[in-house]
Amino acid sequence: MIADPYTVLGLPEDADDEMIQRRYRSLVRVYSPEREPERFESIRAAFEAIADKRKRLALAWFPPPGHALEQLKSTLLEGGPALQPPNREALDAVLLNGLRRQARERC
Amino acid sequence: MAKRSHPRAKGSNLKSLSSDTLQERGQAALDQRRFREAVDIYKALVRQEPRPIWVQALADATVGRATDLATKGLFKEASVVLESGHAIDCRLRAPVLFLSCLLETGQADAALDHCLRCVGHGDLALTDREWFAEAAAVLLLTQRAACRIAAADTLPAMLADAGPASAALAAWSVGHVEEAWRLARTIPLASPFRTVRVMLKSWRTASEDRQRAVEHLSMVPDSSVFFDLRSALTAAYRGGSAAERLSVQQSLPAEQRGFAATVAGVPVDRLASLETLEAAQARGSDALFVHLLRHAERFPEKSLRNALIALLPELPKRRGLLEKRFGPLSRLEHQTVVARERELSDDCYEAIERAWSQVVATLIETQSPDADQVCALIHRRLADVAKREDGDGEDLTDAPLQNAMEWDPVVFHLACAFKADPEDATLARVLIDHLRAVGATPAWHEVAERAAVHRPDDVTILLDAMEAVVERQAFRKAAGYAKRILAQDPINQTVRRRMIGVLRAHARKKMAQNRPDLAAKTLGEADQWQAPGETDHGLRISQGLAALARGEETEGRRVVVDAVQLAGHAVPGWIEVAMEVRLMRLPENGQVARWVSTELRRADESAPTVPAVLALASLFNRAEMALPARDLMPLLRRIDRWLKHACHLSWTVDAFHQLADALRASKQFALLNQFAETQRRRMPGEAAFEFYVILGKLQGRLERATHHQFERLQALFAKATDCKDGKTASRINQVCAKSFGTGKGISEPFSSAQDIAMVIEELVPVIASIVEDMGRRSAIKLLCSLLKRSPIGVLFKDEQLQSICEILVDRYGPSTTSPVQIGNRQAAAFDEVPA
Repeated sequence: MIADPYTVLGLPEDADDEMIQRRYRSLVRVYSPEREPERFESIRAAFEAIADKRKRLALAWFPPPGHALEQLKSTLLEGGPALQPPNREALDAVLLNGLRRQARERC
Repeated sequence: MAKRSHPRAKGSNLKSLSSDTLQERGQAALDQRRFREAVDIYKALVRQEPRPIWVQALADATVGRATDLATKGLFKEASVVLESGHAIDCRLRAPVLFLSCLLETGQADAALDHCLRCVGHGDLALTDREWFAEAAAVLLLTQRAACRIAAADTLPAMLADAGPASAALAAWSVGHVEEAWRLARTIPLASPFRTVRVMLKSWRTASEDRQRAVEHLSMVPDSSVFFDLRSALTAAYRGGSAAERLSVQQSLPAEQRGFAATVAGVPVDRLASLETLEAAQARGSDALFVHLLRHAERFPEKSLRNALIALLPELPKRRGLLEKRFGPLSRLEHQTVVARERELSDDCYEAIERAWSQVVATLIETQSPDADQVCALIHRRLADVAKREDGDGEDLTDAPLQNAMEWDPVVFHLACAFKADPEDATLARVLIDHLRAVGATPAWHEVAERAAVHRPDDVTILLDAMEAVVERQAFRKAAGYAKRILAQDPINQTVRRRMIGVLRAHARKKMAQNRPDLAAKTLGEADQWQAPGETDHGLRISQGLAALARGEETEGRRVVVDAVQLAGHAVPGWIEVAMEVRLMRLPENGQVARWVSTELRRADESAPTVPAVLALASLFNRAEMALPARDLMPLLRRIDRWLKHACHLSWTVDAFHQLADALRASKQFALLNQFAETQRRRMPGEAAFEFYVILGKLQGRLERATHHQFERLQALFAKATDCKDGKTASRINQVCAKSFGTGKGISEPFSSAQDIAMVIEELVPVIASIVEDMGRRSAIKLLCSLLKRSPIGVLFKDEQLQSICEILVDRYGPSTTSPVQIGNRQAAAFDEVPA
């Protein structure tokens, strides 16, 4: 499912054409297609989805299935801007699982 | 059915067998991947005599058996089998599989020992040893094996940095980043612990520039044991927006999700909420609705209300619960929910249309600022629903917009949408395309011109408008549209050429009105649209003829002769001049026409070449030069000699296909037949020429083929396929598919039993009335011709079709032709037979 374009671009739902254009340009400058193709693609898709007023209205009136729920889920993951030091148990679990996965794949 | 297992070789049985038999059986078991049996057999053989070949086979069988067990998830058993394998000759076999088994069974200590053994093992390649060193590093770090790390001298040299790496991780996890970095920077970049250093470096950078931090992490390769940590950290750095975090979360394995979210600063309880929400979602809409209402305090009110309203069409009975929590829905919201509910329940089109129409009415009534655009969206949605319901819709050939709207719901809704939001260029294009598809020519002309008024800046709309006015022969107006397009897109060569064509067409109109002065003026305007450095010979021909019509004889003739030279070939050039004379309606017996005729006769004496003939064929194919056959035939007669010679040129099949394509497109089938017949005589075995002979004879309408001709076509297709002549085969196939209108080429079974049944089913209900109206004999004749033109016509000979029709008339004719009457008729027929 395509992520909510407003949250991908980090914009409020009442953003206008100019705001969206400005945000898109600034994001594309940071996440260029050469450096981060996947991320660029998601930003571009989000921009395309709300680039003009008709598209924004279409998204509001005929959203793809599950769109509102995705928006709701993303509100749960709104965190603070600062990074937190890793939890040691979680870090160990990631490392061990990574080793296990690698070993499985190399077999 | 129960799986039949292969009988396993028993120890007692094995003892009685000779070593040769055992080896043979062992090899067979290995080949057939019966590893358990192979282990037993080779064990017995090795016990008899430890030949290296048997030892190797035993080891292979052991590894195979362990792999089988591990695939089934029996890791404990697999590790036991591998350990027994090590005991055979103390060699290290399948070390990664063994490590995997130890890790899966939670034997971390044993796994570490195994990794350390592998790091120092000479049997392994250097890259493998490095990988095991990284694996040992991960195990040392995750087990926090303080005593082993402290006794660093007992570790291989490769792992000497275990101490600083472990300490750095510990400092990092309690937030002492600088201390962690001080320790990590002592780790050399060749160490298996180097990833710890890379991670910490990226972490320090992340506070200022997350993109650079991600770039630092890219130093950890995909094959590294630390790769999952790299992915989780990358995800954490990228968590710029909540949606990204969500998509990152959904793409990561469970343990990485938690790590990434907590590092990105998401509270742990919210992660738990997300998990319970996803669990509720998996249980279905109703469970999700109840879950959301029960845990409403976790979500922002507006988002929660939107999510619940979005679920309402699936759960109409839950509306009360929603209204109890958030207050009553507005009229517009209620009507929208009802309309979506109708769509969701796959209600009939009328019900859906009614529901959305109410929404439209409310929108107009409330006069909301975006009402027009929303109404347009709703109408477009309804057009989609109608299209799904009706398929391709009605045939609206030549219908004006008003009629098309009345007859076709798709047109109606698209036109309503266009009326509500005429500035939506995409919508206008959809409406135009649909109207063109259903043949409503006046309607699409009207829409294209209206759209051009509202979107004078849109090139595609202007192109449509230009085409529309060209079809109505309003060339001046078309030139105006072309000018507007070229103002926005000045280097568009196609539109420039179109502009010249349009102005030439306008000049012809003026010439026909006996206004050569205006024609010359228009053609002068066309001059400026030629590409720099290029001269359009067609335009020069028109200019020359206009000059001749104005009495400027010398200048006019010079221009025309130059233009013919520019065309490259005399005959096609003069034919083009002659066609232009006709198109300009210059008098047939006038001075100009006579001069052109003389020049054409002179050109007729020149020797034809293949490129000249192809140029002539492509000339017939140009839409703006289209002449009725009665005008073209006299011209062709004037170059009769030239054409006869051209027929006798030695054409290659490829070149002939080009010629045939052009002649087919311009419907010059007589000429095609003439060329193909000559070439067929020259090369009788070539399928392409015979195909074009048939095509030419049938004027391109293969559906008129006789049974014999159809059989020939099939044979020619088979021959072309056998000779790998793809071009001929594909052309036969395409022309057949187009002619028979069945969508099938000759390569597919042409008429299935369903096709035959369908044709007869369609005929049967009308047979009685046809016989009543026309009488039996005429009815049979008519039915024969109908059947002959149907997709099954080519399958039968004429006599067979006649018999089929007679039977059909007798069986399904009017009641007067009941079986009794048939009997009577037959009796009467007997009576009429002279004695």
